[in-house]
Amino acid sequence: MPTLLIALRNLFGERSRFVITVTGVTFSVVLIIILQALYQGWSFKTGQYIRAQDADLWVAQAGSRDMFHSISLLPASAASAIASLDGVAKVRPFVGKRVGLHIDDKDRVLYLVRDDGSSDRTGPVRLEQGGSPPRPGEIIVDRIFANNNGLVIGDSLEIGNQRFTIAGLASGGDLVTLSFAFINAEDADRMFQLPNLVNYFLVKLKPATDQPPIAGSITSLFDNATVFPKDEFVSINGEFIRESFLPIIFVLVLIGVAVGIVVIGLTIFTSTIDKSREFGVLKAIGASGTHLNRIVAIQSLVASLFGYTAGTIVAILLGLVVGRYVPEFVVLFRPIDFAWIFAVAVAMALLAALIPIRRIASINPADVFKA
Amino acid sequence: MVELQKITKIFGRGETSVHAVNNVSLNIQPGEIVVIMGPSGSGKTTLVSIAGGLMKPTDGTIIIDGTDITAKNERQLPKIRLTTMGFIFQSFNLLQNLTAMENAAIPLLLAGQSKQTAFDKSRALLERLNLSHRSHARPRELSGGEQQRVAIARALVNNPKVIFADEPTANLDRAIGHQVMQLLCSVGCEQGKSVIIVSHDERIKDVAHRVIYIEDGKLIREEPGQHNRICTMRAHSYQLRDQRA
Ligand SMILES: Nc1ncnc2c1ncn2[C@@H]1O[C@H](COP(=O)(O)OP(=O)(O)OP(=O)(O)O)[C@@H](O)[C@H]1O
Ligand SMILES: [Mg+2]
Repeated sequence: MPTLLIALRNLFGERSRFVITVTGVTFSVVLIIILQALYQGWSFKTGQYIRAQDADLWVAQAGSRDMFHSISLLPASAASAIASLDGVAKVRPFVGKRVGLHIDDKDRVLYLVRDDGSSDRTGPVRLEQGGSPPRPGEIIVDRIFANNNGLVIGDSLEIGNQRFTIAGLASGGDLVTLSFAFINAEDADRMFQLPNLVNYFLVKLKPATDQPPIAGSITSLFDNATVFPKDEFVSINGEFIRESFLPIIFVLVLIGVAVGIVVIGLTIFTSTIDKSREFGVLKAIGASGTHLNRIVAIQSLVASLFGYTAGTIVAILLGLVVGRYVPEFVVLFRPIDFAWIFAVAVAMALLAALIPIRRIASINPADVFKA
Repeated sequence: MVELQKITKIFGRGETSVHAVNNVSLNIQPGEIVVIMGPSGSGKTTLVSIAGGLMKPTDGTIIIDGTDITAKNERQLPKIRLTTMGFIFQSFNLLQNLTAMENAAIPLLLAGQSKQTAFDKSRALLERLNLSHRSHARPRELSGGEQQRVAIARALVNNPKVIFADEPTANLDRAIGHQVMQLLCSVGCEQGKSVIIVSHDERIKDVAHRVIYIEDGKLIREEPGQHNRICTMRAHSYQLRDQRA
């Protein structure tokens, strides 16, 4: 294909221009991939505590949505009725509350969870350091929360007139905007003041039990309750991240795309102007419009694909390296994201090729006879 | 065969209009080499551009190998140029990033030939033009004369009916220019092409069968060239055929 030959020779024949194009696209692709990976990482993090619990269904008060921005109260006594349903293996109450506190005059948010210390406790996902379960007056916080606030085991935290000593550091409970912490059942009952009420029931089903019928039976035990399958509850709890970050991510991705288009567009355009005589010659000797458009499109596409490849590598390296030093930098790379960003890179290239293509269309082949 | 019938080209309108070509008719046989001479601004380039389908005449008809190209549209013309015409320019106009062999092969590749076929033909032509040792060089590594020979190979490679050359020797020194033209004309004549050369260079006359003088867009005079010295055989056979016709 002569168009491929000419396009590649043009592209690689101008090293510095090629490097500029690829660098620009790399920058744009890194921006887009990292934003997307951070967003996915955050979304994933918000669900990690729920995902880690040994429960197939979360029973909540009807009308409640996520754990952090809506209230769910259920009678504690319903546990035995749920447990006696056919197909239910285990029922655990979940009691927790979002609380605000000051650390060095800064506002912080914790989601305190009642940890009764039993074998069925709703405790931390993983204990990284210190002791567990928490005894009265003790609290287990997430390692990332401790790091961010300069806290270590033995430090104390004041939450609603109550003083807690940090007894352990856990992982898997940081949600970026807030973080899970665990206190003893005694402290929780005193602080939350919700006698005979729980927030959720965590229901574990026996193997090979059909979810929808059992969810229906559970719902009918209450006046007003909703049963969420685990995956749905994970997704509902990620919604606030989606709502608050998606528009920002979207704008930033658009900026990334615009940068990519402008860089490819400008470099390919200037290259086309430099080569307009050669395009004129090709026209004169009988190249069709399609031939010439293809040359520009290939140049643009190849530059963009180099940029995409470099951008992917740089983004993954950044994710690995930065994540090691900045705990909040949680990135999740999904194949589907690489796929759509690839499609974006192709689209950027084709859009960027439009201006030079119009320019080529205006070249008059008869001008080639002018010296 | 190339037939120009009453070609007129007027640039602009009203007071400022320029009659660049004025009612020119001309027939050129296969294997015939015609040189067009005339002062600067006399309309030579305009005439060749029109004959080569690069510019629409204001009036008149161009028939190349039996096809009326004035009746063809912008979408059809490139294909016609690609398959029936070859072009040679004053400033060589090779693609700078391609080797000599690739440059010469471009028309074949554009026409959809395989790389193998295209490069084989291009290599053979470069050999015929005494350039086989330079076939992997880029234009900037070639002398003017070598570049123009690559351009000749490019013009011939698609086996066109007619070759148009506008001032092909203007950027070459006299001796080299003359050699290059002799090469063009012997190959063109050998292969039965119609060759139309625009030139200021008086010495080019001796590669032509006919020399045509044009002034103010009008054909004013025609005289025989001295081509016979180079390609007698072919010229003879066409002359004979002409006489019979
Ligand atoms: N695109 C154009 N628009 C307007 N006038 C033009 C255009 N091209 C050529 N002309 C005019 O037409 C006339 C013929 O020009 P042309 O280029 O054909 O001359 P030429 O014989 O090739 O001259 P030279 O020997 O200097 O190359 C000139 O007066 C020129 O100014
Ligand atoms: Mg001219």
